[in-house]
Amino acid sequence: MTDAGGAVVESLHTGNLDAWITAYSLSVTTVSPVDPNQQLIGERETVFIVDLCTMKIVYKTRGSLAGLGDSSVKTAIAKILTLLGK
Amino acid sequence: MMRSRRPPPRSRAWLRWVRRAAVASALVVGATGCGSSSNAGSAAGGSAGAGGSAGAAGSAGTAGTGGTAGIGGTAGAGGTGGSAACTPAASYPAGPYGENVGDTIADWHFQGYVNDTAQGLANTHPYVNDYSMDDLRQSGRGYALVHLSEDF
Repeated sequence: MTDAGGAVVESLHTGNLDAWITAYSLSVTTVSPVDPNQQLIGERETVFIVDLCTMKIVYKTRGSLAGLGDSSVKTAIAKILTLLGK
Repeated sequence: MMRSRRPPPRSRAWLRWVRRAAVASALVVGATGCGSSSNAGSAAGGSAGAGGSAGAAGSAGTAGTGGTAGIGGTAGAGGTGGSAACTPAASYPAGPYGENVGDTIADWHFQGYVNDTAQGLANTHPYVNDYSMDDLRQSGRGYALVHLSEDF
């Protein structure tokens, strides 16, 4: 997806980024908020797709916290690839 | 007719020639366009699979109990079409900001491992103390997928 012109950001609110990256073999940008108290939007397992030209949210979805069905990331990847013309 | 400069096969010069050709091809793979759309035209600056094949996609992680699924590897692909209509503003868009489709997203600031090209594990890259949505905006990429793995 990154080669297709998209950017991917995995944001963890709390915890150990290194452990998170290792546990899931994350190769994408993996970060946490600079200020844990800052008011960010969305809840866990929420994915936003943002048009980086306008910074408008063009897609939003939330997956199951119980691990049922497709993850929010899986459905969003299909969406962003479509947006990127892939 | 121009005479080919290709060296004799299997010679050292031939190996250097092949490497140069591969690097040149790789540079055009992944060319991006800001604001590309699903019906964008031909690739700007590169074509898919020029001199190389797309990488295989990894699978998305499976959500565990009390946790969230990780993002799997991403498929390599060729260049994407850019939208001529996209001219990013000089500065980050002003508010109001929101959280729904159609809203402008706030300029969040993060810290962590930035791996724009998804090469290798994220934590093999330098730790960045301030990475913002504005950095993403100026990346030249078309769209960003932001996954919130924990409660915010």
